[in-house]
Amino acid sequence: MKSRAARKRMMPLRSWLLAVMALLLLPLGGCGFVDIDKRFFVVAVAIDKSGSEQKPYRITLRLSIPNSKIEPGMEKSQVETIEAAEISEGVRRIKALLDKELDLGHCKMFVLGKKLSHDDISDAVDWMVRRRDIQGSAYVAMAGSQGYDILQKMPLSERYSGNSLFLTFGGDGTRSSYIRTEHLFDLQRRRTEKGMDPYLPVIRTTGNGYEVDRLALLDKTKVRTILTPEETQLFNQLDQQYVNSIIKTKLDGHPIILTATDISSRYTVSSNGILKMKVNIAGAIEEAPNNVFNQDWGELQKMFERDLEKDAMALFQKIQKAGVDPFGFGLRYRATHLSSRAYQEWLEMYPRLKFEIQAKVKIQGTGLIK
Amino acid sequence: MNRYFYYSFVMVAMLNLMLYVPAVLLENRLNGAVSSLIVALVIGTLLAYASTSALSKFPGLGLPEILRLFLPEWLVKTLLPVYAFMWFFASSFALIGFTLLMNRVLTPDQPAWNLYLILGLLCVYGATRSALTILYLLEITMLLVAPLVLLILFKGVRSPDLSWDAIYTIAQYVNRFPTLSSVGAGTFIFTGYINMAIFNRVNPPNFRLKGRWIIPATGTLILLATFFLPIGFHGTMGVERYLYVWTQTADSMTMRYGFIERVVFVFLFLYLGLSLMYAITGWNQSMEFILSVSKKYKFKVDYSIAPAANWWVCGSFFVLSFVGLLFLNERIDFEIAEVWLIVRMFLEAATVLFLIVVSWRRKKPI
Repeated sequence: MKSRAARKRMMPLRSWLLAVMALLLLPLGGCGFVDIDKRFFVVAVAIDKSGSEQKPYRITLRLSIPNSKIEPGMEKSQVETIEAAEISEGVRRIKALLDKELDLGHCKMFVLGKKLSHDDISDAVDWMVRRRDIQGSAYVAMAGSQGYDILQKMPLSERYSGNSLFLTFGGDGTRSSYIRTEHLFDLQRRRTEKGMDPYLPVIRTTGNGYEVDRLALLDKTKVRTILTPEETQLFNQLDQQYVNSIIKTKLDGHPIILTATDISSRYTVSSNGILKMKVNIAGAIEEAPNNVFNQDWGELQKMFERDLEKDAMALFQKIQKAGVDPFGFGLRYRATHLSSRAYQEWLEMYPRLKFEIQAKVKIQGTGLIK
Repeated sequence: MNRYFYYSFVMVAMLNLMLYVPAVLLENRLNGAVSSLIVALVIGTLLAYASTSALSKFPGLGLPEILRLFLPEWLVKTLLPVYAFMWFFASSFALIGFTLLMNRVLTPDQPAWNLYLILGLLCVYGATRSALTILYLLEITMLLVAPLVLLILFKGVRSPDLSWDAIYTIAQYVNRFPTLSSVGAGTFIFTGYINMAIFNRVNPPNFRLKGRWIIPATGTLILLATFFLPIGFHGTMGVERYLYVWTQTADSMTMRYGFIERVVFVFLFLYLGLSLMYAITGWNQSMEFILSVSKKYKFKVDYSIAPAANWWVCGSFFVLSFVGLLFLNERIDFEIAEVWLIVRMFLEAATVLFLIVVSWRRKKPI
């Protein structure tokens, strides 16, 4: 223990040090901070090809204008567009058109124009991933024509700016088996991964809003093929076991439709070039000709199975012909084959890969009527 | 005292996500990182067990006192500054690394030193406190932070976006020979035991550490999560393109019904707490090593007014690390970290070996 006198002598020293510390804090001005009412929140960004040589990019931002009333259709947005040589330059140039600071931190939707996606998406995606304030969990999609048109569209039901697109892809609002969401981090993963290729949902504008029911399949840089709505749904069923989706068959020219409530799909890729997939689907019949209840269910199940196998085979052959791998078959091959040459083997094998699909459909009921 | 040991252990194990450990491991993922994880698991557990057993033979004594018992005074006087530097470097480096990260992600409009002023001064204040205060602070921080960090890890494992195929693919590279830098990075997860070097002074005479199985259990879980979760989220190839891979991994998750949708902000604030706590304990112990160089120094478990010497030592730590910050950026940081993780492993192993030898001699009456 020090004597009280000694401690008293030390007190000035301590306060002196404290004073220096307090002085050091003075240069912290809080200069990095901008008030919320002096910010423009970007809700969606579209990147298009402009077609001109000097300024190849056309950047469009949809900015949310805060509104005191939250009512469907009352929402106001401001859309700004500019042509630029580089993406970041375009965003900076748009800042010059505005009176408030841009904030990309809340932007959850990125739309790539059709021309850009068919040309090369690398620069655009690299820019998004590199920027610190763009979320890894943002949604990325391809526009049916121009990304600018998608952002121009103001759907009637929107409660706040951009809400419609967020609900479409977020799975909070609509849950459609035709929609496949792509996140930015997943796009980046698929762009770099050996044995798995990227895809982008395609947004098109309709009278009241958007239509998202197709999927564009890309090789590492550009679109190779686009799946039809039926193929997109099948892709969701096989890859993500997406329930509340439908499968179809025909009985004497009448369509029968089954709503899947339970899907499981498993596949293995063997080194002799055969992919074996087992799909089990169980569900209830939603649409059928009269008196389907008294038909032979076993026979109906066989018909469903046959059609499902046929459709799946067609889908696999389509993506194989396009030379892309959105399922990640190659990655599965790498994961199950112990060799550093596995990827090389896979690349040689994929064009000749044979598919064997074994479907099993179980009818659980026929709904409320016979 | 039992739980304080585990707080310190879990703090360091969790903190590694933010430091350069995942980066070093992931860079070597195709040549030996997986086997290094296993080696690191064994070495780390052995070192932790050995050091805790050895220290239990010296209740109430810290590493400086144990050194004085067995080594000549001149050697003690040269060794203690080396240890002080070790602790100072580790914690300052972590704090600087975290400052740079916060600066990149949250406050890019300000210079990094601006942020470091606040964080560093907080740490100076924290580190000058008594050992008892710091242990209490450690408990409070860990009780607040650890459940949420575990929640985020759990969320990651359960996420449908996680690609298990990518994880299996990398796991197959287990047959590669382990590399030194990966082992160095892997053992860092277990290095929380080393804080006992000073905190052992607080241990009561008949102290026995219970539940040591927690060390390999949590160590394994956190080590596997550190390495494999980013691979599952960013793919076998894409994972190496990120500078701060764990920040990106947290940013890939969303909490749709949480208060804050972007997990990355929760994650950053949790790690702000962990980094500050780590720097505070590190600087405090480094300070104790320096003060212990004088043979007359008397350690006190608790005091109401921090001695002036504490302020001088911690103040100079702050100035030194501040100067360091001005010269560092992510590239240099990464290169230093790789070397540092290896050097640290050997220094720690040597210390533990010394403790083991002297604890055997202690059994015989002195």
